[in-house]
Order: sequence, then structure tokens, then C-alpha cells
Amino acid sequence: MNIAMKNAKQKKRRTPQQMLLAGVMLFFFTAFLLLFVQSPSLLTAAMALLVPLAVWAMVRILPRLFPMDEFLLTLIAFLCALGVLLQYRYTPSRGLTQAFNCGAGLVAMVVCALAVRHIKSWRLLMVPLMGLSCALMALPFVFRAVNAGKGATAWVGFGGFTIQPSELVKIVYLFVLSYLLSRRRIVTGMIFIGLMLGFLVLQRDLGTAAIYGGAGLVLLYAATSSLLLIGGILGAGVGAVAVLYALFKNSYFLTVQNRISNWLDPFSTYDQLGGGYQIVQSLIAIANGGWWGTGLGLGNASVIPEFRTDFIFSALINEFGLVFAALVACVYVLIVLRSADIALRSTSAFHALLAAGSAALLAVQAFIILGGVLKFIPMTGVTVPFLSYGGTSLVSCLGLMGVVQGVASRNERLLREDQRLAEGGEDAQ
Amino acid sequence: MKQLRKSIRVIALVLALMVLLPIGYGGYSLIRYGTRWRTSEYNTYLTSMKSGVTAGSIYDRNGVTLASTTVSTDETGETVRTRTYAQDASVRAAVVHVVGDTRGNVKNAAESFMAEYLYGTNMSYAERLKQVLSTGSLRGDDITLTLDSSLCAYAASLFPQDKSGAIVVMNYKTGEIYALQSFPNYDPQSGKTVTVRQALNRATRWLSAPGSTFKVITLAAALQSLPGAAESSYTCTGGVSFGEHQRVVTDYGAAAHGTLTLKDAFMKSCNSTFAMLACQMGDKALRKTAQSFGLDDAFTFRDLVVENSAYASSSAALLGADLAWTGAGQNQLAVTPLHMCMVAAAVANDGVMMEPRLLLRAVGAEGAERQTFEPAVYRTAMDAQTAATVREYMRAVVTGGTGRSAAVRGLTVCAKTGTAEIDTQEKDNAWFIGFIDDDAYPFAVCVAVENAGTGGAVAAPIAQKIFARLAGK
Repeated sequence: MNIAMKNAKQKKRRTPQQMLLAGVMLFFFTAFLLLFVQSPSLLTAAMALLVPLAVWAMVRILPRLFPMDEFLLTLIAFLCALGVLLQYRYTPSRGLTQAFNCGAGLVAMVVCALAVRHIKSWRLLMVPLMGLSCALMALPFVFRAVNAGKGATAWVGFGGFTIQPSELVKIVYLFVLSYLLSRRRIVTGMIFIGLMLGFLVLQRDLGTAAIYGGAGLVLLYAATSSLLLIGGILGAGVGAVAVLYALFKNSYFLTVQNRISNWLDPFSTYDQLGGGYQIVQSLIAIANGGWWGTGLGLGNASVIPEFRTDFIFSALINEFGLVFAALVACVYVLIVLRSADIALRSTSAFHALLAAGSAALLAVQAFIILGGVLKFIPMTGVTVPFLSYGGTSLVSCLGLMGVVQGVASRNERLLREDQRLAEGGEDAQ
Repeated sequence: MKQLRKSIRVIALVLALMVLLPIGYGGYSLIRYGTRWRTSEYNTYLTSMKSGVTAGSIYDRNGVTLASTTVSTDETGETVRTRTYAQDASVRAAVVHVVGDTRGNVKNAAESFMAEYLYGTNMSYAERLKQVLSTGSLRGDDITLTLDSSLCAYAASLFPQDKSGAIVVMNYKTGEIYALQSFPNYDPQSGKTVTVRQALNRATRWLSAPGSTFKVITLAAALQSLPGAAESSYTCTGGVSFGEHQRVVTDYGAAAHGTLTLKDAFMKSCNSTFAMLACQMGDKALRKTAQSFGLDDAFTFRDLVVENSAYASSSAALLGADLAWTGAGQNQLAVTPLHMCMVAAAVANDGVMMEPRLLLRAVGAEGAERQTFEPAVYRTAMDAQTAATVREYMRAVVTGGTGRSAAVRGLTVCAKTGTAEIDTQEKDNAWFIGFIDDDAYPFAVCVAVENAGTGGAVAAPIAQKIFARLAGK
């Protein structure tokens, strides 16, 4: 059978992946077309073509330049483009900025993928990486000392724009922890987790602390398979919180109590400063959306403060409905399962932990913010992976996906080398 | 590595479930609280959405129009929608707390709480398209309420002028509400400014101590938890004192009732006896019975928003005078008139408390019934035998006790009066709950008048006239 015939035969049958990609492209084409019909502008018309094109390029062109998992890329591209759409729908210029953020994130993804694929001597890098994570985590304290009086302490400003170091440290954290645990340095790993958590708790960034802690526990379980250890840590954690609560009941924990009362009955604290206003408006936006949504362009989620970042999922439910939002959650699940699959195919414990850890960081973050928005757990302000407005968040999420992609491409390469060796071996006989 | 792979499989499963969990909870909340969130006064979307739709009409159970919208075109060609309320001004004022007004003064009234029907938000897209294509505009569903507007106007005319309070009339077999009124009320079409006092729906939003009407619940608790309570005799000296603080439970006017049977004590509404009963059975038994009557529950009725009643302000066990006063219907008890009406209804309906209903039917713009609304049991408050005994005692209240002024010749009226003492008020709150023990007229009534006097003197005569009218006597 010659090659031309083979190609022709393959072309006729569309693979599920091609159909998925076509579906995603069609979705964004129609979505922007709908926005165009509602208020015609040249930019929106261009977006209707450019966004599907960018999705296509990301899924079809990128893997030719750098080896990557196409299915995973399709899922990521869908979420990123959805984030652009949600921003664009309320403020077009923000949609463009978000698209630019996605570009920066893609660069981070490629860098991480290449690093995982090519770097072999991680041992030498560990001490510098640990130092880097501590230095970055300490940055907000330095800046707080400089411009005192500002409330949020998790952010660092450079001239025009701000970054959240804890988002970027996530990736370094993952590398360090995976390395330590794959070398069976369990205690060192636990100390490192504790150190990072300490920084975050002092920054009052409890949502991010929960992500670090949750993912840390997952990695510890993966490395030790010991439920006893996990149970012991959880027990000790509860004990520590109880002691801290007794010590700082009237200072630190006032905010925590506030959040819990806003969670239990947001309507009763609606009018208070720092009360349930946000959550009530979010719940109303969700209820307005219902199962099927008000329709793209017809919602009013912009009444929620922070609707672009922490509450973007409410904005999604508002216009697309809870059923669609459930499907978006399923996309997260697919990313988790695909990452786990890639971890299972990996030949080294370090790389398996890297892929599984990325999935854990992502899933815990999705749980915390989806749970907060849907009033399942108290609200803590973390971003929705891929959907929230903001560069740091996208860079860190896409960076994590880059790590998984790196592991996938490494698996692929080793598999091919094995095959070549096997074939070579047969030839020799 | 093998162990690691096994752990990763477990982790993947746990993480996947974790992401889906909040969505599942979101779906549950949407079913359970969706309507409440959507119709919240804080929902700005509802206001903007209403502007493009012609609202459906609201009728009472006899077909009297309570609200309707006329569509006209002004000189600039703009569509103008005018919402008008019942023709009769007295009816307008009498039903305003259920129907609401265009400005949303009354929280959670039908005009906003039933917006799903009135503004057609639950119409399918196909139906909307069909409507727009055939008529050129959207029109919501017409709804028929369970109210009897002429009864409402009549009941409103009986209520003392310048007093605050509420009247509730419901069918105890189906839960349908015939009248749900709050005073002072207002005419939604007068154009005058509505005060906060007028806008508050006291029937569903006013939480206060029910006074001796609560003895119905204390009695049910005693009958269920103290064997032989009905056969024992009690001695009343006009008051009981508790503990070292010498806090005293006193009888109304410090009257000593002497030696009494339980039935006598209930008829005469003897505080001392019910205080002692509460202490005998203990906090746990009384609280449990109160909760089986719906106190401390989070109400999520389909048709109306009702403030949650409370047995006590915390879950800590009540002791001494606190428990004693609770047994007599005071202390931290907080209930609404609608809930007390449901308590009377449960006694009448063999212990079964029906869910209060306001919506009889909703009819689509094309005349098709949107949904049928079946009566539903809210909860079983007590067993039928206990209910029968309480009914017998409540009958005695009307034949020879504090509720004599509620008696109607030829009708089996059963009742309990209440006089709730409020420290900050000059006069007491007058309460009355009762019902007609007759399958032909299955109605329960609650009357509550704030700062007015005793239940027997102020509230019972109002209820008597309502009973007479309900039975056509």
C-alpha cells in the first residue's frame, strides 16, 4: 500500500479528536457570531474567525513544533477560549487582554514542557528552586513594608501591573515536592509543605493555602500510599487550627468567622461591610440562569463584584446555565483523568508525581472556587483555572499543564526509543 | 512504582468526584432555593426583565380580578403597560400583602414571588417564539390564588382601627389560604407613600411570643410524654416561683384558680399549671413536640416565604423559670400568625399539618393550564389520638372557658386564646387560634392584635364573626 492511498484513507475517517476540535471551533464561532448579531462591530466579527483559528492553531500546529498531547491541548484550548469569551462579552478590551494573557500562558506551558522533557539533573536544581520559592513567597511581606496600609497582602506590584507570587510558586512547589517525595525524603517534603503553608497563612491567603495543602496531601498519599499518614496529618492540622483559634480568636480568626457566617446565611449579612453581598448576588445570578441559562449576552452577572475573577463561574452559569457549567466541570475532570493517565504511563516516580501533582493542584483549586461560588463551602478568593481574568493565574495553570505535557512527551520519546531498540534487537538476531 | 500507580488511580477518582461535588450541590440548591433566590428583593435582573413582558393577571378563587395589566400606546408610539388592582378599594387594601404592588413595597408578595408565572420566565423557548410570532409581544401566565377576596375585605372591616396585627384563614384539609392579612394595610393605587409599618406582612414576617395559644403545643407534649397527665389534678395559687432568683410565673391578673383538672386548667388558661407541666416533662420533651409542630424548621413552602419560628434562641436546654414561661407561651418563643394558624389546623386535621398554599392554578396565555397544584402534607405534628384530646379541650375553651366570645350558634367551634405580655408595650398582644370542627367548613383561623388587650376580649370576637361568615350563619 503506498503512502498516498494510506493518507487518502485516513482523511476520509474523521477521528474523535478531530470532531472534538471541530465542535469546539464551531462553538466559539457561533458564540462570537451571536455577540456580533447583538451589537455589530468589526472586532467581534474578527473574533468570530480569530478565536476558532487560534484554537485550531493551538491544537494542530503547536504539537508539530513541540511534542504534546493533542487531546489535553483541545481541552485546555476550549477552557482558555471560554475565558476570553466570558471577558469579551462584558468588556471587549478585557477579552483582548485575556487573549494576550493566554499567549503568555502558552509560552509558560512550552517552557515547562521543554524543561520536563530535557532537564535531567534535577538534583542540582533543587536547592536553588527551594530558595527561589521562599524568596518569592517572602516578596509580599517586603512590599507590604514598603506600601503599608493596603489590605491584600498576597499581591506584589511592579509599576503598572501586579502579580501574585503564590500563583507562580505553585509550579516550583510541584517540582520540589515531587522530587523530594520520589527520593523518599518524606519528612523533608512535609517540612517544605509546612513552610509554604506558613507563608500563605501569614498572607491571609487561605484559599491558596488550601490548594497547596490539599495538593501536598495528595502527593504524600501517592508517594507513601499510607492513609494512616494522611489521617495523622489531618488530625494534627485540626489540632493546630484549634490551638491557633484559641490564641488568635479575636484578631486573625475574625475574618474567618466572617466568611463562615457569610457562607451559612449570606442574606442576613447582606448589608454589612464585608458581608454577604457578593455571595447573594452570585446566588441570584445563578438562580437567574437556572438550568439552561439566560443566553449569551442576555445575563447580568456584572452586578457581582469580582465577577471577572473569583465569580466568573457564576457569570458562566448565569448565561450558559448549570447544565453547561456541569459540562465545563466535566472538562476539568477529563483534564484530571488524562493527566493521571499520563502519570500512569510514566516510567519514573518523579515524573509520575509531577503529572499527578499538576492534576491535584488544578482539581483542588477548581473544587475550592466552585464550592465557594455554589455555597458548598465558605468562599475563599481563588481564581477559576483557565477562566478567571488575570495573567498570573493563566501562566500558572498553563504552566502546570506544560508540566503534564512534558511528562507526556517524555513518555512518548521513551516508548519510541524502546520500540527502536526492540526492532534493532530483532534485526540483530 | 506499582504501589505508586495504584495510589494515582485512587487519587484520580477522588479528585474527579471532588470537582463534580459542588456542581451536584448547586443543582440541589437550585431545586430547593432557586425560586427564593430568583425572587429576592436584591435581584436587579427581575426588574429589568419585567419591562419587556406583559404581566399575567391575578384572580382570587371566585374569579375576581385582583391585578391586571392593560397595554396601550402613547403619542410617541411607545408601548405603555399599566398595572391596575382590584376594582373595590377595600378589597385592594385587604389583599395587598398577598398580591403586592408594582413598586415591590411588600417583600415576596405574588407580584414578585410568582414572577416565574406572571412574567413567563418558565415558558419554553418554543412557546415564547410562538407567542411573539402570533401576537407580537410576550405575555405571562394568569394565576388564580386561593384567596377569597370578599372574605378578606370583610375580615379587614372587623379589625380594630389603628392597631397592628394579622388575620389568617385557611382550609385545614388542603392547606389553601382563604385570607392572609396584615394590618395596617394600604391601597396600592392611592399613590400615597407606603410606610415600613404598612408594608410589613405581619402574617408571615412578624415573629413574637404566641402567649397562651402555645399551650396547645404544651398540652400535646404533656399528653404524649406524661402518662396520666389528663387524669391528675393541679393546684394553682396564682403563681409559681423558681430558684434563688425568685423569678415567678404568674397567672393573668394573679388569679388563683384553686384545684383543677388538666382540662379546667386549659379552659381557664392557667399559667401555673402549664408552667409546672413544662418543668415536669422537661426541656427535651417540650422542644421535641414544638419542633414536630414546625418550630426551629427552615420553611421552604412553594408559594410563600414565611419567617422561621423558634422555640428558643439557642439549642441549650432551658431550665427553671425559662422553661416554665416557655410552657405558658412566653420566654424566647417566636412565631408568626400564619404558623399559629397552621398549629390550629393540625389539631383540626387529626395532627396532620398541611403545607400552606396560595396558588390554585396558573393558566398560560393560550388558555392551557400550566401546572396543577396538589395539596401536600407539610408534617405530622402529633398522632390522631392526641389531636382528638386537644380538640376536645379546645372545644371546652369555647363552651365554658376563655374563648366563649368565639362561639357561633350551631357550629362546633374549637379555640384557644392567648394574651402575650411584651415588656416594651403598654398593653398585651391579643391572640386567638381556632377552627370549625366540621367537614363541611374545614377552616382554621388565627387572629393576632398587637398592643390591644386580652385574646378573649379583643381577638375572639373578630374570629367569631369570621367563623359565622364562613359557615354562612
